[in-house]
Amino acid sequence: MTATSRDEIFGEGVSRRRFLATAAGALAAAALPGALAPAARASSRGRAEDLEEREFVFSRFNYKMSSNETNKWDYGGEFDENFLGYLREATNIPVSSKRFEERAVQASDEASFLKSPFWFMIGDGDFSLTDAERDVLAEFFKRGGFLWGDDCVREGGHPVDVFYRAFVRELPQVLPDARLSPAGPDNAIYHCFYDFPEGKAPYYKGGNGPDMGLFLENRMVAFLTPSDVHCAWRMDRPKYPGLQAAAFRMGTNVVVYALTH
Amino acid sequence: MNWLLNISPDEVLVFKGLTWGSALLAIAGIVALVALLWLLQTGKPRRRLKGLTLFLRFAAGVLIVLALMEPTVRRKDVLPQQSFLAHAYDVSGSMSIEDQADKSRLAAVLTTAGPGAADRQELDDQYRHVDFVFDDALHAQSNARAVEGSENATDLLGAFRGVQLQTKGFPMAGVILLSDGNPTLNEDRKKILEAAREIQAPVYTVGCAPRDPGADFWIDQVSCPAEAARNVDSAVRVLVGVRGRQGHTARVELREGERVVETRTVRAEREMQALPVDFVIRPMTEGVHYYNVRVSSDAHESYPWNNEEDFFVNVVSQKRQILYIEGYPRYEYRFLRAAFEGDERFQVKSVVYVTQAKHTYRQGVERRDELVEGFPEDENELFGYDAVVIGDIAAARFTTRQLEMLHEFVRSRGGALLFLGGKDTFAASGFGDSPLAGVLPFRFAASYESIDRALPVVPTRLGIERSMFGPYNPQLDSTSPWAILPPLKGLYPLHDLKPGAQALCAIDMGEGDANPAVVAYQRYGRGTSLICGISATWPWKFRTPSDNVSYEAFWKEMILVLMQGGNRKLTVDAWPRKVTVGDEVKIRGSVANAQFQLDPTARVDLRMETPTSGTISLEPRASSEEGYTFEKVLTPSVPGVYKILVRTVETDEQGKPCESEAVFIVRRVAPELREVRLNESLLREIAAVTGGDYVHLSDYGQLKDLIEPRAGTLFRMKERPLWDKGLVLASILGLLLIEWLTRRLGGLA
Repeated sequence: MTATSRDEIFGEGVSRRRFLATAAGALAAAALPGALAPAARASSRGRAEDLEEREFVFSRFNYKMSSNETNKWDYGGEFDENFLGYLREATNIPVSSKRFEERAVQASDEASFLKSPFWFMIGDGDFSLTDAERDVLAEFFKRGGFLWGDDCVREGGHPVDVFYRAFVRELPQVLPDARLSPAGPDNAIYHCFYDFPEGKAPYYKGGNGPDMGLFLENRMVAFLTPSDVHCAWRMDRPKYPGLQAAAFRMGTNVVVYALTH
Repeated sequence: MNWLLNISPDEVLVFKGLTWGSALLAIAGIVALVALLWLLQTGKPRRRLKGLTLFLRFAAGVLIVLALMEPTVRRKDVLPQQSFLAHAYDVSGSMSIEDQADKSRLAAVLTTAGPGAADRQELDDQYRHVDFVFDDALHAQSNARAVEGSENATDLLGAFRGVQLQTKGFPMAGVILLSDGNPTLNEDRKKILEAAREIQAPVYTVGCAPRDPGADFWIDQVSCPAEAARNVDSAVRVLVGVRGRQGHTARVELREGERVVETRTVRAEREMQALPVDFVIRPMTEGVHYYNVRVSSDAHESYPWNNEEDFFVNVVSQKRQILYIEGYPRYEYRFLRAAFEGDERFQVKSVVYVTQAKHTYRQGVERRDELVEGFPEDENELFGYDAVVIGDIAAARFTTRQLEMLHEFVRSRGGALLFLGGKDTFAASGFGDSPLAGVLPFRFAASYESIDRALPVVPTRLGIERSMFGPYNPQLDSTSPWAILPPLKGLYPLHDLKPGAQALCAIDMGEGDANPAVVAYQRYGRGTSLICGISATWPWKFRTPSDNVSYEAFWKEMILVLMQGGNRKLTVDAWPRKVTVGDEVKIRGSVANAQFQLDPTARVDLRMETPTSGTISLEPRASSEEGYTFEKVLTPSVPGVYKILVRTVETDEQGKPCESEAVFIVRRVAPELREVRLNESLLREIAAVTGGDYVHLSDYGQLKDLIEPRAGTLFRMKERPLWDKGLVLASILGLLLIEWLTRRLGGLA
């Protein structure tokens, strides 16, 4: 048997059978009320000792939006569980089984940001970072941290790209020396595990802006998707056949990228 | 019986000449006597008379037999004994420093506490004395008047172990250690304290250096990369020690030959501290560049000989090729790869398995099919790398053939193997049964468990010498990366290192516990292997301020530690690379053929550039050490930088000879003379853990009041023979005389 390589040169998907099995499992889990539901709005403070040294922790970034009514940093925690279930099946990454509230992080103190070098951030509204949060985020990036922001588009919420534009406005202020630019179709994030030949994240909802990357000395420290990848993890929809699978694949690529680049 | 023989209750009667025959005779005689006594009572008068004579004869016989059995009274005598007191004199190089009113430290010790000194005499009158001297070895001193200094290092650990062996079983009132307390060999504080405790007698430490040594600036340590890239900036960090110069400034000058590279000014903020000074060098040519760093101030220097240090940097233009194979995507892989990114000296190609099946993700590859199998296709491809890093990966990911290739990569090719410990690498029935087990510097255990709590990792003395995290002086420097690094979880202690292995880092288990190694390396064949039992070092990077680049320095130095030595067809190295005048240096090298197999018959031209005599030829001899084909031992007498140049006499396939070079530095001043202060804290600690006391040499006289005699006893068996007394002989003769008279007077004769 020969080894198959998923690399910058060419990638290959997992088997259809494995994918379907994984997706079915994830859907079943989501359908059980409360089974995987996160206890949201829990304290996100943590100690440095909380750092998982071997397992991958998919941390959710707890930040404050400009409007309290739409302060939904913790929206769709159960979608994360769907995705992490997929990630466990599709890869050999040891994924932490910490609960949602244990995985939450804040930029307001160092003890919290030391919980994990990978932060996931979603939102549909405007936000502004405080100077203290910018300082902590800057240090997080310089030490090797990675942030993935995904524009969440909710029915009856803000216009489709408010979060996207806020991210594009705020992140360069965190690292003035860094460069914010389109991630680019050749970026390894589209090819490191699964191959996305078009070089962009799958589209569910949102604006038409390109996927963006914040580059610090050629290292992409933050990645922004405008297309609501996270909400596509919720379930497979007849209207968007194959979208959930594509969203799982994109999420897998982002995680593999963060663990290898 | 006791009253008859005058035996007291603590005495015991024994028969020393007791044999089976004599015992039977005695018993038979006593039975016969009893029988005769009975006959005497019952018989007629004449028969009674006969019986009496018979009884008397038997009685004499029994007495003779009893005397032959040597009856002896034994008593256990308890003899009071005088306690012993040992003096252990430090005669190492630092004791020759003349800072005791124009006398050397050792001379001051002998004046105050040497044989014949008044205070010492009082102790000698009270205790039986035994004297030792020690430097890098301990010797019993039969004639303490002949105590002489040496230029050797100080080994307190060895001294305590020696004293323990030599005083075992004696009633020791104490051991008086006279030293400045600065170990330059076996510096592990915990081991020293443990050895002191094992003497099982109070250790009275006497500080033999000035309480307030003169003000001093000194070069404490220099850290630089062992290899630098041409035309690229490299950082050099110098640790300047300061004592008694608060508020003063000093100039620190970095020179390359006669050229001043850079000068910095430092200011002492405290009475005692270590000041880090950073320089940047940018060597423009390939080969060995040597530098000198010196510190000077306008103020008077009490110890001017420790103000400069030489060091060298090997400048290379060819990138070191590193292959990194990882078992699954993890932060250790990502941070370790990043540590080498952007460094002109390294090129990293990596393979990480991303599924339970054989799917891999490759980085740094240049061809579509490169490493597509997760491993180089053949030996030629593998031997193109200088180092291979094995991450946390199961042995089953490799074929036997691939593991055999790795074995040969180290043994024949002279490559470097870095083996990262983790849950999968330490799994049972994994690498322990593979061809790699022989290459690695430790023996695999049946099963491994990592320590489940976070503990600090500290450098060993060798680790400090290698400056893997920059210069570090645990006594002075609380800001060093080593001092501020966060404790780590997932540590695998390496309890079973092989004999040739050397530990670079250990786990700090806490006060009183032995620190097991966690990073160790060894030579294997022509190459080197290193085991890192830290399953995740990336928290060091993630949990320390971003301007701290010591994480990157640690891994690069680790790779360079491995790569030094044989990784080309012609190699040469000098060991140690830093010596003091009079120390031995061993030049060793190897020549390999096109298949990287050692060629002991190959001839080499060996030369040495000396600091004063130009270039001289050296005559190498065949080496008996594994992995080397030639060697030469030198004892340089002139301080300075020495460059070894070697070239093969035979040419290679391109018609050119192979060339290689190595450098070593002969220091003017031994490490013994660098640290001149009184290490009172260590001496006090030794006294405290053993139940002794600490005094300064000027208070040596107080010891006679501090030391308490130790109750000690010896036992002796005292014997009092009962058989060789005149009374016994007289009794026998008396019995026989009465028997004769009875017969005469009774008309029986």
